[in-house]
Amino acid sequence: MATLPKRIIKETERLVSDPVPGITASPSDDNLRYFEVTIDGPSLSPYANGKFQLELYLPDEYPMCAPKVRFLTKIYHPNIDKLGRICLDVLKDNWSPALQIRTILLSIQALLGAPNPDDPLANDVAQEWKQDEQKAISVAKEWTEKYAVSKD
Amino acid sequence: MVVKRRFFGRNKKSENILPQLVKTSPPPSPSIENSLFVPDNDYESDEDNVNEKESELIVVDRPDIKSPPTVSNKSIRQELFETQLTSIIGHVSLKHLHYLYKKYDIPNNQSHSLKLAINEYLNGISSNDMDEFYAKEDIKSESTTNKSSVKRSFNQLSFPSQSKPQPEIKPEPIISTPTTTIQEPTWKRFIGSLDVQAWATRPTLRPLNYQQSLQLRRLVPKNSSILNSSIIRIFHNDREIGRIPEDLTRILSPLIDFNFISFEVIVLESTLRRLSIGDSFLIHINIYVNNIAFDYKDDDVDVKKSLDSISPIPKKAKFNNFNFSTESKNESILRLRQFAISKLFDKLGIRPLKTSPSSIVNAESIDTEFEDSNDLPDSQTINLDSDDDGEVVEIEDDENETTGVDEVNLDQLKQFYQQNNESNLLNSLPDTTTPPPDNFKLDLRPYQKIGLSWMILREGEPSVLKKLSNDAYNDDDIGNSQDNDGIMNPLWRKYKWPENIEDKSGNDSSEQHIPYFYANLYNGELSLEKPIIKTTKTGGILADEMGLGKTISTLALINSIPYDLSNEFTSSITLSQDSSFNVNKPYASKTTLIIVPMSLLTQWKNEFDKANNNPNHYCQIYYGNNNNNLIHTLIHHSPNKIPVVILTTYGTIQNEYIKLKNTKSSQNVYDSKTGIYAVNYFRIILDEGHNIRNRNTKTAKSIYELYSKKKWILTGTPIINKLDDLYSLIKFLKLEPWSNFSYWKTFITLPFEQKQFSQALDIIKSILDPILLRRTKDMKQADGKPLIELPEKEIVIEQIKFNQTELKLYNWLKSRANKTFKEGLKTGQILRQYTQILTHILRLRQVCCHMDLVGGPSEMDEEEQQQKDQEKSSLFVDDDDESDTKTFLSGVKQSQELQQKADYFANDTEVRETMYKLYSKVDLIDSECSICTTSPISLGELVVTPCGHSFCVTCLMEHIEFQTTNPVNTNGHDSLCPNCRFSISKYKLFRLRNNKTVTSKDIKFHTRAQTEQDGNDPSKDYTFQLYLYNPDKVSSKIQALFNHLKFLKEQSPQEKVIVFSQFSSYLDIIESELKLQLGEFEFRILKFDGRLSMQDREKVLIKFNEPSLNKFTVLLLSLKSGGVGLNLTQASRAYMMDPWWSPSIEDQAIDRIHRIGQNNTVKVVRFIMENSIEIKMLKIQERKKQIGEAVGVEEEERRKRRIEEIKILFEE
Repeated sequence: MATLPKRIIKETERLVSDPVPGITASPSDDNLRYFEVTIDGPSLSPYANGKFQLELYLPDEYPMCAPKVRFLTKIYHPNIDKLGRICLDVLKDNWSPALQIRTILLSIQALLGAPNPDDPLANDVAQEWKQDEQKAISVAKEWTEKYAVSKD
Repeated sequence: MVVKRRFFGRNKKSENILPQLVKTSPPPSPSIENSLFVPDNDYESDEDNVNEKESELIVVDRPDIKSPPTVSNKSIRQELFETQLTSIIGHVSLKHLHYLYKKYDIPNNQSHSLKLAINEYLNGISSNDMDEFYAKEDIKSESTTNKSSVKRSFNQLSFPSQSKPQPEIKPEPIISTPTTTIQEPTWKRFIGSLDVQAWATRPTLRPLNYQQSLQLRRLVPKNSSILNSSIIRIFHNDREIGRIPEDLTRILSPLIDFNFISFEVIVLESTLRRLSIGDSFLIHINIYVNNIAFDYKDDDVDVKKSLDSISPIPKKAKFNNFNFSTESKNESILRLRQFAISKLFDKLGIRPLKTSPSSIVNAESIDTEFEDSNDLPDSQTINLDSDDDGEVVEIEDDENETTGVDEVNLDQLKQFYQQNNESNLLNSLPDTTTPPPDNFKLDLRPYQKIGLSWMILREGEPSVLKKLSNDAYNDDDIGNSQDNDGIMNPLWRKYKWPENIEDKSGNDSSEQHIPYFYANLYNGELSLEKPIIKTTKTGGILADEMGLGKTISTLALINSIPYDLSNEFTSSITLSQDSSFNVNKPYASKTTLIIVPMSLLTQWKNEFDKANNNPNHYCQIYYGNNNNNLIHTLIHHSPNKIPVVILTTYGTIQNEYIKLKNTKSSQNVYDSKTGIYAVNYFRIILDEGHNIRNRNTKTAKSIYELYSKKKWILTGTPIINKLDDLYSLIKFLKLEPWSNFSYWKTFITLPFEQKQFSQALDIIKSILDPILLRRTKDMKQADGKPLIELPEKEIVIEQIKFNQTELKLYNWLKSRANKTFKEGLKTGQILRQYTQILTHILRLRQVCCHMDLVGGPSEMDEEEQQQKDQEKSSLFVDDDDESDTKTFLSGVKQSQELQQKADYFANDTEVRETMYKLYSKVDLIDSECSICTTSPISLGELVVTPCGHSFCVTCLMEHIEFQTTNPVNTNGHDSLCPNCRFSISKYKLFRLRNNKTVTSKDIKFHTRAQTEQDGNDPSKDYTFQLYLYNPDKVSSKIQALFNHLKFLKEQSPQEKVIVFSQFSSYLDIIESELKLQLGEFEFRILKFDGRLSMQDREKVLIKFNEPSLNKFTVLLLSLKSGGVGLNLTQASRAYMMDPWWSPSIEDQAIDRIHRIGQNNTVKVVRFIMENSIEIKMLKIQERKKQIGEAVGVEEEERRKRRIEEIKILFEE
């Protein structure tokens, strides 16, 4: 079925009309399964003030399988690798069709607030995070300043 | 003497019978010819005398016309002998002729032998004489004559009386030669010549010389009339010298009487000596047609009028004491002329140019065609046994006559419609015609404008057309060309003037140079001009195919010519002249009466209001109750409130007709002063005009009694099944002369019954061409685009996987089928096991649909059923077959349960405990399926997990299926609840059903028998009931269908769809599943199959076409009963649940929705089970498309193909 499932339409509508604070998600004009997402770095986190660009894609099997999400903005985070891939259980094994785009993005935002170096994706970052958390946090702040804060 | 005569006696009875026989049997024979044109009156009276004298005598034999000897065996001498003999003594039976010839033919002394023969004949020939003679003859030579059949037969009507001399031998009663009283022809033209053997009636003084000129003169006995005498004598210098054969005189005498022909007669061969009575001599007759024959031209096809105008002679006072006998004067004249002309043509070998009346023949083909027959006139000799092609066509009037069995088959209808499609007239009509915008505010499509142009022309208003088409219509161009290219009257044939090699007339009038002439052999008319069918321009038949806008075209016409334009000036004259008008009635010159079927009444009213732009015009519906007002409304309306249209129904008219008939039995209906019959209308339009196709129905009769100036019929199907259907329409249109049933019957019904299809259809075509306009949806516009573009049609094959249970059953059945098939192949007895194999195939197909169909009382397709019946003798299908299947099925389940115990509830107690707890957790109103976000979930959709979460059943099943096939992380369990990650199994789900709507039958169908209710069941406190869901009972196909339906419903909640299946029982299952799973609140489910009565079918269709009231409508339609005829364009989507052997059946089914009136893209999904017999059926469909359907194929070939098909089915 080439047409969009009703659920996706519903979700999209709600994302636009009733956005989650600190998160925007808007579907691409030419592919309604592709979303441009921004997530504000949580305050009290090294990513505060940063606006992180992500892309989100809903596979054909959605909602039976999870959406595919990736950071476009460079980020220094133990669970996010250089390519922007995210290590998050709900995006993998713990996906349930009861979850939605909204909940997934909230989970990602939460992940920014609570990095988990014990279940790393970017091993080098996790290493540094474990060895010198302060330094890692400052690097994360630096990167945020450098890549995620708009200059104007 | 008397004793001898006994063998020739007749009885009176037979004489009385014969004339009737003659009238009703057109096939010609010499004796019939005689009876129609009895030579002389005194002749007849003589016979009567003889008859009376001999009435005591016994009848021996009836004349046997067809008996031997045959013509081909005759020598020229014999022929000569016979013609001479008959010319003297009148008609002699063939047997006698043969006998006399054999006996008296003495070489070199013809006149003597003739004399002897005549003597014997006049003395009477006894059978004894003949037998004796033939007995001798047999010894002498082998006689070809059959002795026994030669006996005693003779032709009574020409029986000569020996007591009286031949009238020819004493020509005293002759009083005049009629030709002298008639105007002289202004020109004449050679038409042919004859070489004739003549006989002297008087001795001549000297021998006749070669090239000596003679005259032919017509003689009429005193006490006879020209109508029943046919005496022609050869004169030389005003002295009668001889006679010509009687069959020729019969042909020529009427023509002489009418002054149609003149002659040049010369002696062909000098006679050696002077002639004595009975001597023969040869003459050559050049025959010329006088202009008078052409001047008495009838008014085209209007034969009726011709009957009145044809008689040129009776105007002379001399002949006013006609013997009227049984037929009217005009009829006799017509008949004589017809007979004479057609026989003359026959004798002269004049053949029509081979043209179908409609096609225009080019010059070359005419010439070659003629050359073939050109040799004939010279070599033509007079032959007594000439065939009678142009025999009088009998016309019978017969209101009581039952209509013939002239069922029109499909091909003929196609041909007929095709022909009417080909009219190229339309291309010349302007497509810019627009009704005056003051009256009409809708836009017409180009072809509708052409149609309007045509209709305006058909009403004879070219000036209106010119105005409305912005002068695109040019009178001169189109009007004339139309007339020139008009269709030749089919009763006429085109002839080429023969060349006169020896033409000495030297007549150089302009008529001499016209190469062709035309003749109507049905009534003997001749014409120099091409007889075009002229029809009075008062309407016609608009037979556009359904959906092309007949209604709107008609309204455009009404608005273009709303009133009778001529009324103001000439109404009174027109009225009195027009025979279809009743002078005594007021004329509603501004009103069109439209008669429609009841169901279309409001639609017409709405259409009128939509189109009407003139505030002074209005449309009134007439129900028959406001009788007294109607006449007032129609005649005395105010100028700003004009009832241009009166709408009424066939039923209303019919009721009024019956009422009038009953109350005023003495009066005619059209004398009515009130009601619908009280006025003449300007125009009457019959919608769905085939309603009057049976002319004997009250409906038709009531319609005939309405009078109007213009008449139109709208119908998509002018012929339903008989050609006579058309007659009634013609009758309503009062299209002369065809509205006279005799004509119709003679020229159309009878030829058609006699399988002369092309003749009948040609005539019909020529009748209809000018008055019928038919466009079909496939026709192209001038720019090459079709008139109507049907929307796209998408057919998608969706392949579906079997679920586990289905697969197991399928494979099991398949292996059994394979076994049978292979055995059959091995033993070569595949045909004997055909039935069994078919049964296996059927099983396999059923599994593809739904497992419950297997072994159930499912209907087989007809062919299979027949096959089964045929081969019942060799039938050895094991009766255990079905029970086997069932056993296997339960076996499948048990094995599954054993294997995956964790997926099932351990026992019923567990089921019940779990289920009862769940009741409180179900919240119908606030339920939301977290998978598809639908909220609330409909009752039929809802499924509850043991952990108490509700989902749509399809969503959850999809989820479970996905998790099973993509085991990412399930911790040993196949699937988890999306909401709480509790382990779930598809065998541990509960579904809901409405306590009220679901019958116990449905419950049993879906529950396992063990889960019966007990005291703890809380369901009585709820509006719903929970039950354990058994996913294996569900057919994959039905599930796929439901997914489609649900998805579609989300997008367009009021959509109407059609679900086709060939198994009625499958439709039943789908129906109950639909009710259970999708619920009847949002889904309207209709079912239409062969088990419905006609009324119920209609009800279903009406319901289906109603607006859907926010409901999604599903029509379950059986492929066979719903495949043809229905118009279901309300739906644009169809689902084919199972494939059928023949692709055309499926195509036809799809055409129910893909046809005119369909505005949306048609989408069809064909569900096919993966790797199943259905895939192979698709192959067979493909094959059938290539080699064609086995329609015209022999049974043997059919079987062969079937076996091949079976092989395809079983190949891996």
